[in-house]
Amino acid sequence: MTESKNTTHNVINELASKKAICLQLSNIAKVFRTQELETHALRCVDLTIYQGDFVSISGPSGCGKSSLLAIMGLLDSPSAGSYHIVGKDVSQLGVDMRAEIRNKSIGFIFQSFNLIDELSVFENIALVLRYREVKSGEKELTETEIEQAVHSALSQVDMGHRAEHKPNQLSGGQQQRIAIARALVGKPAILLVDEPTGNLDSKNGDAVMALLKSLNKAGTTICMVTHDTRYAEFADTQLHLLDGEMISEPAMMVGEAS
Amino acid sequence: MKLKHEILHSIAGLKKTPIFVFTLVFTLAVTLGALFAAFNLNQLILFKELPYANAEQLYVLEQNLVRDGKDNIGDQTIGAQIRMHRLSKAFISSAIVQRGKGILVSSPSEPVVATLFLSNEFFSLLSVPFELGGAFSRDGDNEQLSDAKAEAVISYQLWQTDFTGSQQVIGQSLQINDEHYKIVGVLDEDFIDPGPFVTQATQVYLPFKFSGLTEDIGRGTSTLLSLVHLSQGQSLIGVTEQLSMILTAFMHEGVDATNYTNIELKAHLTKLNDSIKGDSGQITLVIFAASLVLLLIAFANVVNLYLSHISKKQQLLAICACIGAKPRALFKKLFVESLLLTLGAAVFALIIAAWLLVLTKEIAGGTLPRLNELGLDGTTIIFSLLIAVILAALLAFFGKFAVSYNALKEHLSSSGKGTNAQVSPIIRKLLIASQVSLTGLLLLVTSMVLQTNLETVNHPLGINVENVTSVWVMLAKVIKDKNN
Repeated sequence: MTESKNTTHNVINELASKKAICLQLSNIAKVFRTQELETHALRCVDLTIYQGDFVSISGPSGCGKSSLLAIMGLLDSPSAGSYHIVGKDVSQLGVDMRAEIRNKSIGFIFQSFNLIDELSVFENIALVLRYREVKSGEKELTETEIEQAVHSALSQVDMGHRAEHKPNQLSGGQQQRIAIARALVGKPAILLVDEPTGNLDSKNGDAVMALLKSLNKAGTTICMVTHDTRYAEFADTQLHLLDGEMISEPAMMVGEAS
Repeated sequence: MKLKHEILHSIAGLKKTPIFVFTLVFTLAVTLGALFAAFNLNQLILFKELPYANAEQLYVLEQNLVRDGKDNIGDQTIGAQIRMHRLSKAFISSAIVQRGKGILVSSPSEPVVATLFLSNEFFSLLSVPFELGGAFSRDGDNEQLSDAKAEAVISYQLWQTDFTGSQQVIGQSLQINDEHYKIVGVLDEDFIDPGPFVTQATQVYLPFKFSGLTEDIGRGTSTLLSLVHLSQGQSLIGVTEQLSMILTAFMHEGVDATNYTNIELKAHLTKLNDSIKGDSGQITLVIFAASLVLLLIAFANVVNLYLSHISKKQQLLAICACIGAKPRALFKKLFVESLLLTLGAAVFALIIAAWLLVLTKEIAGGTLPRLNELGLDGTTIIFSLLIAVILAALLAFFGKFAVSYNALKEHLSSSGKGTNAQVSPIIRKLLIASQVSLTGLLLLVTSMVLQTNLETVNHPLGINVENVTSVWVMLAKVIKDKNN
């Protein structure tokens, strides 16, 4: 299995050798410890994503997909291994620096949309830019610049006419589009997408996946976690996790095996 | 994030939880109202300067009858007080004041009015402001008490009620008992009588001569005092000694000193502020402490309520953290929301406090001094803002303490993974314990104070007062018998 895994990664690396590295995980492990139990959620995960890639990570429930995505999104720390985003080692960063990188380099899209109900669509999206702190020498974004960025992100997801609506006035598919716009507005290095179609019917799910595909074609780097093999095929690179390890072939689902 | 947006977002969030907002603001407003009123009262009595120029150099002069080494400041010997006033002119400025009442015969309804018989210095020592006219006329610096003319200065209130605020009041005559006085001045509306000299607002100010008290009267009275002004650098001890010498001389005048070997009559100077304040500072401090404990009990309740609110907000905080809000940005978010709530509560509390102050004036008028000066002022408003900020910071702190920044990611994948984590049970137990213990403490202290007060009230007076009624007869005119 290890030999097969290395071969796959070599092929990917070879194909992408001329692209800049966006995100690189080396020997990442995640262990959850309780008083009596030690659970290895991830074991020696190596992963390199290049700019412009569309990578899907799939696997059965409990295989470590969410743990991996949390580490990639700097929402959690690995127990071992190193992690670089756009060449910067982010494995050992403090809370504030991790928040800053999340704000500037990562865009999140979740299964449950995670929009703030009391804020308008515009404010939901603008929130990313409002939390952006300027360092000395940098220029603070003006309200006009924020407005332009938000409207640009909204037009990317074809939701420009819904800026003043509240999330609960929109359908699930529309809410996910808004969530995608929020992920895009800060011009991040990569979009981390967690089961984007999980709360949607197939029609809306297909539309969201088509949107993600079109964004990727326009140059957006995407790493998507899904257990849906149909949607995983939208990605150019399909990786599979099983019991916390990256494998080359899709793991056979328990249901399929029976 | 800019404060403006943080405020707008917080308002939008609070609009969605009107019951929470109402309960929290109402609970805080009631208890804060009591605290602000108590603060205002304490600030007035303990710290606020008297509304007179050079108030720090004003003293109340009384006689202290020292018997066997024990002080006894009670009735003032009339002759001695007048003697001190006359002889002390060489080294201090002083005004002698006699409190009294009289019937305003010149008024159709002949009401009983509160009077002050005083020497002319009273107006200059207190820099008394006039609405019309001025102080009693003087015949030079060496004027004696007996030189005074039958003149009167009236209060603003009497001017409004009995003279309809007429500008022609100066020069008009008024009759008190059997004496006619020419009105020479009307006091400014804002003038307040100094506490120790009056028990109710004075309506007519008359020259001391017309009190009927003279230097040859040896009896005592409780309504006589002097107001003294010490110049900068003048020694209190030195002045006291000089005045005591006058008293000693008065006491031994024509009397066999050997009969009074264990008695001394000494001068006693008390700062006007301390004299007015008396021991009322202790009462107001107890009121403040009680309202503070009440606030703490309510606040423990409010924190509980707020933590329930926070547990509902964890997903929002998680979203903010996920898109790049740092821990301090989340604290700021919580602080701004808390501040909106506590500021709202403070505004309502100030309204309640204003009403409580009016109530205090009504029910404690005879117990506490300077209540006519009571009212919300800048200091109380600054205090209320400060308290609102402190409470908001505490709420935000509790909120931050209850929410683990690192665990917020759990709230981002709430699709059937059971992420509605609640506030730590330890915090809740601590809050409930603090509420119970504070309530218990307040009840204990209250019952102790009540018991002490009941003991005092029920303590036998040593005389039988059952079916005994006090009657006070005031004669408007003394009909003089030709033979007497």
